[in-house]
Amino acid sequence: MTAQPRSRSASRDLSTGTEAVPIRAVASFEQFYERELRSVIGLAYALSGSRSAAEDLAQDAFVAAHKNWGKISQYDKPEAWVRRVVANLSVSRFRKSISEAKAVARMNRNQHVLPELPGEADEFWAAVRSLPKRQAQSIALHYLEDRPVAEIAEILQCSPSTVKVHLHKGRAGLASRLGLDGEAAS
Amino acid sequence: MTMLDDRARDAVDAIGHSVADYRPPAAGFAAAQRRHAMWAGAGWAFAGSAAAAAVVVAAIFTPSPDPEVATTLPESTVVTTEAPITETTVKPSPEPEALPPPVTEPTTTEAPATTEAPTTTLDATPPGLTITSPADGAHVEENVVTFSGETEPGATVIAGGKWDAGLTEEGHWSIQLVLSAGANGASFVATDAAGNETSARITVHYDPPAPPTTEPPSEGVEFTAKATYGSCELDPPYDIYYGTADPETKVTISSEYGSGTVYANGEGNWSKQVFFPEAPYGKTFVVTVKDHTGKKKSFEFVSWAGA
Repeated sequence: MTAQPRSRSASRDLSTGTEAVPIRAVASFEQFYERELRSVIGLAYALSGSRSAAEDLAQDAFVAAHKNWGKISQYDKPEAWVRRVVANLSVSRFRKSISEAKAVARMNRNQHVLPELPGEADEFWAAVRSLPKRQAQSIALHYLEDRPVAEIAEILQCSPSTVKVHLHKGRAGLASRLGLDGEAAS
Repeated sequence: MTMLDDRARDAVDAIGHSVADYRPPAAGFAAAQRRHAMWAGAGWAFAGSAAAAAVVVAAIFTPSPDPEVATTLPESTVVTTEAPITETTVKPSPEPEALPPPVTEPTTTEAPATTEAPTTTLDATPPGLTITSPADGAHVEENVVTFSGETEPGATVIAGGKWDAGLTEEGHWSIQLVLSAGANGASFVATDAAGNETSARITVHYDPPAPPTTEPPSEGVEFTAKATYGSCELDPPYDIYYGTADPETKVTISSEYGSGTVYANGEGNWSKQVFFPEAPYGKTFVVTVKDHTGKKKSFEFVSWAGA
């Protein structure tokens, strides 16, 4: 059967009987995007440290998700997939520099940039970014999104015990960098 | 709570306040995607001019389905800014990524690293939408039916006004719908990146199997069925179904991706291992187990083979 184009206003014609319903309801991509956008940008901001690149890194991740939505929407946690993409992009210096350049290129065309962080917060996230990348990603997901170890492991595609090690070492490293020695990994 | 945790909480709050002020494009993802496509190449060019010694790739560079891997578009050009300027052609990747679909607003295409003038594209053409299965007016005996069809790659297909039908990069879509007895309407709307829409609707009749006309023998065994796993990471994926039925009678296990039959033994016990070699990764589908009288039970199965 081939359908004909129609106007934008869709209406459901129930004259032919009951409407079939899906066996498993899947959120549309737009719903997924609207629900996850801000937190994904926040993760990109924390891990990249760039308020100009964060939005672009997040959009990269969502564009990738959109291209593969047929597959990703079937996952139990599509939000884990998009976070894994943005976490990997954000710790890549190369990708960050490209995203910053794009942001600079369009800077005068829109105001979609994030405000600057207060000094202490900026210092904290800078310390996080100075950690080895897996530790930084684990720490960001742990603090920023309050995710349990099992979910962080799912996002980073490693074992929960590995995440525990990253968190332990990451906290120790953070305490040292922030001059909070003695606090390490308690 | 340690001082480190206190610092972390303040830092998290700061990020939260910052992101809360962020205003996404009013038109949602479609607008963001258009802007993303427009500036995809610009970043490379600007990065190249800003860092003379840096190697710049004048290609769209987007993440592949594997988050650890990035791919370039086929036949894109690699440019280095170190003198002398050289160009190399990138061979197509095994699974080249598609360009973002056309847009309604006049817009520049990806900015190349050359001085060519930008071109404009206008898309006012609604996407094609076909329903290849089932046929309009079809009568089915199962209450779970997979609806599938084709549309424009990059478009979305929504069933029943709110449910996303999974779409492949090639534009194939499918969704399993549950039917009620009698006539069931199933409507689908395809929307491309420019917002053009096409709708289609078919009617499918679900004819439940007639109840058995004869009473089962008094010495019969109650029909039961259970699934052992519900999912499988092995290749080919499989599940083991088991239960009870009338002795020496046939039990049929059927699904879209694999089936099998087995006879209950003299005591009415049966079990059957069923493989689903063609089951798509991560897609949940229904497996129906039916006895000789038409009694049936349904189970969900999902393959994680190759994970």
